[in-house]
Amino acid sequence: MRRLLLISGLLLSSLAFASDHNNIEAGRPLRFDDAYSIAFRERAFEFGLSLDTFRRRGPTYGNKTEFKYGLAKNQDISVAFEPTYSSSERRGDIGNVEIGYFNGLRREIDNSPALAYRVDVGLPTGRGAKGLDLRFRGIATKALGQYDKVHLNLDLNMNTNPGPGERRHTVGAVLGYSKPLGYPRRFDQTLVADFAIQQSKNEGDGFVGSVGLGLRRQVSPRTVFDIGITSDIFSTKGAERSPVRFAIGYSVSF
Amino acid sequence: MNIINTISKSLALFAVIGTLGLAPIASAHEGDCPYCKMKLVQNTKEQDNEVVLKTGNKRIEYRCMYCVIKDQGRYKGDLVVYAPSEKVGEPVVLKRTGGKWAAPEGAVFLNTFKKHADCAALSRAFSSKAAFDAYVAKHKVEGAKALTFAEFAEAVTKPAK
Amino acid sequence: MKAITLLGITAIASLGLAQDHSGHQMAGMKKQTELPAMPRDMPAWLAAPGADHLFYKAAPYNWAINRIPKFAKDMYATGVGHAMAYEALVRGEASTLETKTFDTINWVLKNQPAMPVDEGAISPTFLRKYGYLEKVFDWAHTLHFQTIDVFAHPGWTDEQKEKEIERLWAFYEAQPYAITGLPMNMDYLDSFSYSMKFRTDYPKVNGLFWGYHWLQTVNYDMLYRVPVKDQAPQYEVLGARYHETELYKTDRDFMPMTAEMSPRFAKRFPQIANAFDNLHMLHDNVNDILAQPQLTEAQKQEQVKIAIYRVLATTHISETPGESEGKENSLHDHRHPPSMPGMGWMKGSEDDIMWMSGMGWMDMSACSHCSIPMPEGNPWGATVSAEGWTMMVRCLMCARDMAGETPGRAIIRAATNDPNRLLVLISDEEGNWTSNIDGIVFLEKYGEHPECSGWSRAFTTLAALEKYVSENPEYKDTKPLNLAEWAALNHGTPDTYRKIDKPNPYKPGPPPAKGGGR
Repeated sequence: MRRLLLISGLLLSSLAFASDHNNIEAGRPLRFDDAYSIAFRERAFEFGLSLDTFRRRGPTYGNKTEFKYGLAKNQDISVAFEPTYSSSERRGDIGNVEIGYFNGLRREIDNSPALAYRVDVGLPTGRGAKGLDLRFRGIATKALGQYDKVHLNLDLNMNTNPGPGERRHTVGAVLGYSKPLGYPRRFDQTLVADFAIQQSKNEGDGFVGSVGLGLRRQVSPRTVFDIGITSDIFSTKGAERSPVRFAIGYSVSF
Repeated sequence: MNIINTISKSLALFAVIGTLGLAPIASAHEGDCPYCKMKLVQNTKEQDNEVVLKTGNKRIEYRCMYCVIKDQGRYKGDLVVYAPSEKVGEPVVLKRTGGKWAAPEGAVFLNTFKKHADCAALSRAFSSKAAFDAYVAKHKVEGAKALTFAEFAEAVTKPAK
Repeated sequence: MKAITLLGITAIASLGLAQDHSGHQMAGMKKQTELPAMPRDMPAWLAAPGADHLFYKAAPYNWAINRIPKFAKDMYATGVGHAMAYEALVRGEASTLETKTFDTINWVLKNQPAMPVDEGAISPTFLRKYGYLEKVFDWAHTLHFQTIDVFAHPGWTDEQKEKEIERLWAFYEAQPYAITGLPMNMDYLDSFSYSMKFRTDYPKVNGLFWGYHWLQTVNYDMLYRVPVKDQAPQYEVLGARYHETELYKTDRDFMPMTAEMSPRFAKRFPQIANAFDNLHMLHDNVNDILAQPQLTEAQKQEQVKIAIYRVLATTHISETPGESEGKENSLHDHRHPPSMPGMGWMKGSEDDIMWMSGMGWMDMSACSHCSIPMPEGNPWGATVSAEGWTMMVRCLMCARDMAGETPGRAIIRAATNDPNRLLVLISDEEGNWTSNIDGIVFLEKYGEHPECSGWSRAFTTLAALEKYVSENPEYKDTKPLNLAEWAALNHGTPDTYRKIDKPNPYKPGPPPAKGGGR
């Protein structure tokens, strides 16, 4: 019992680091990563709620929890769960368990961008899931002016056992932008925006293009609150679009 | 034990003497004026120089009367100022009570220094006009004017031209 | 007997020194004319491309600094200054430093952020050029914050905290970016051709920097072995002083040193005090290098790397504190004042005698009020903090009277009969004291100063005082004093006080008309 209290005490006091509003992670709240890992030995929980709306069906609710650990300098590993609930199907899905590895290759030096890559493996734990979902993402971060930054993410996705009518490989790209808000008088929030293009999983469907806007705000030395909105603004060959996707999240480091 | 204590005390004193040897011997009470940051001028056999301000449990030494009046704003409570006079050991005692200054009847003040290095000699209190005149004559002070405390305070606090 | 030996040695050493002084030229290094050359054994990590962010040691005390909210916010604001100035310097905006940049930094110092700031995010241009330097700074700043957190943590005993501070030091030292905990020759570190450029050309901004180095060092004695509940009230005094005066001083001779501001902490944790001073000296070196318009970009990069190299722990492996044989006034000169291992060798220092900005020459082994050597062991005496300085004194009387002759509020931290209970007294402008220990009683039987630590003491209870009196019958007729009675006493400056009358080594020439003593 005492141990439990101690652990909960540690977690509570954690609610009062090291999530950093400047360190941008995919999903919190938009789709892009910057080229920096979490710190060596840092542990972080990221919680998020999402709402996806669709034209042809009811909204889907998501609840993502991710644990990250700074495995080594410039490297982190993560495990994420994202159960969802589809209102049109009126049932939930435990979703795939994702395991990730991030490696920051270099920081921004002079005019050269920071470079990193991440590899994520989705285990087929969700309803009807087959095979492994693999994603390889290459990441570059570069300053734009003094404080603004652009982030380019290039994705190659693969499913080891695609279903009928599904592609084995898909590609995507995200161009992210971040800008600290309030300098030089306040230092606790960052505006984020992105433009993404993602190939549909369904053979025959084309690409979906979307834009997003969000804010990451430091709430305490260890916690960051984020909120974002994304909209699929075009699609080709009839790919399904989500007119509005909301995401809200909370990240805690300890 | 007593012997050890005695030896210990003797050695402690010896250590002090040793410490004294470390530097040219200086008088006690040396320090800097809290206002002008110049060295305090020590009392001599012939003349007192240290201006002492008492407030509550504090006892602060200033270089001259000018510095005291200039620095008085930092003290919120009542003040007693022991201003060295023409007589050794008999200062002119000034009091600030509830923000109002009071000086002994007949006390006059000199405030004619041009350089701050001369302030201790030329910003002083005297128990009487006669004592003032004697001091001015002895030290050949040019342009000396005997000021009441109110005049002195006004002269010190008026904005510089 | 140990005391006798020590006192004897002190006396003999003092006499010896007195002889040495005759005709002695003021020590101090000449400024070097050539730029330092790149050493051959530069650590490889300086060229590593990774960001290498490190997380602090996970522990329940993290962010306990927030228990003293005003102090926490002031500390968070200190992250902004150097970052903004460095950014301005590398962006070619040096001409704005004393105006626009000063105003911006000053605004933040007055309107502090509620949370720590990411210095790298404030100075992105600087970070792209000098990312390796940021690793050194960040890691040392982490040590700064975590040591503060330990002391501000309410759940542990003083002994637990001290052990954790040692573990934190080991945690810090394990990284290649760690700054050495050895005392360094500050005069040497400030003797390069670029040295003093920043403070000369940008005195206002440098004043801010040294002002918050004051804050970053003065806090340790505020916290060390002080009950958590008694920490915040002291910051009312120190924080006011910081904002009203210390930030805006442009007449400091040298940066504030940890042992000057927190002598008790520096004595107990010399390696940490030295690391902080070496860190602050690195800041000064970097300021000076970046402010040198004659240096090319490549030269600046090289000189910053050399400056880092000088203070890294890895540069001084297997060297020991106090050692200098044949290496005086060099990179490997690790002398320190004999009585203060947490202080590097300063310009003009001779054994325990050093110049303290604003105080003049002080003897670190002696009481600052009565000039008699500090007692060994318990009670260790007291410290007095007033007017921005903190000084060690032998006894409660010396503490009170020293505070009593100094304008402004003051803090006394003193030993009591109970080694685990530190007395913290805070005075208002008029010398009215409040105590952290209810019912504190004082013994004061005025006598010879060399014995003042025997007849001027504080006791946590009357019973403890009576026990002491029963063991020391010479005090049997002395009336115990409560706080008000004790506070009303004042014996002025003792006759044993001796001012060390030598010129300021930082301002060569005849002895100054201004300053020089307390």
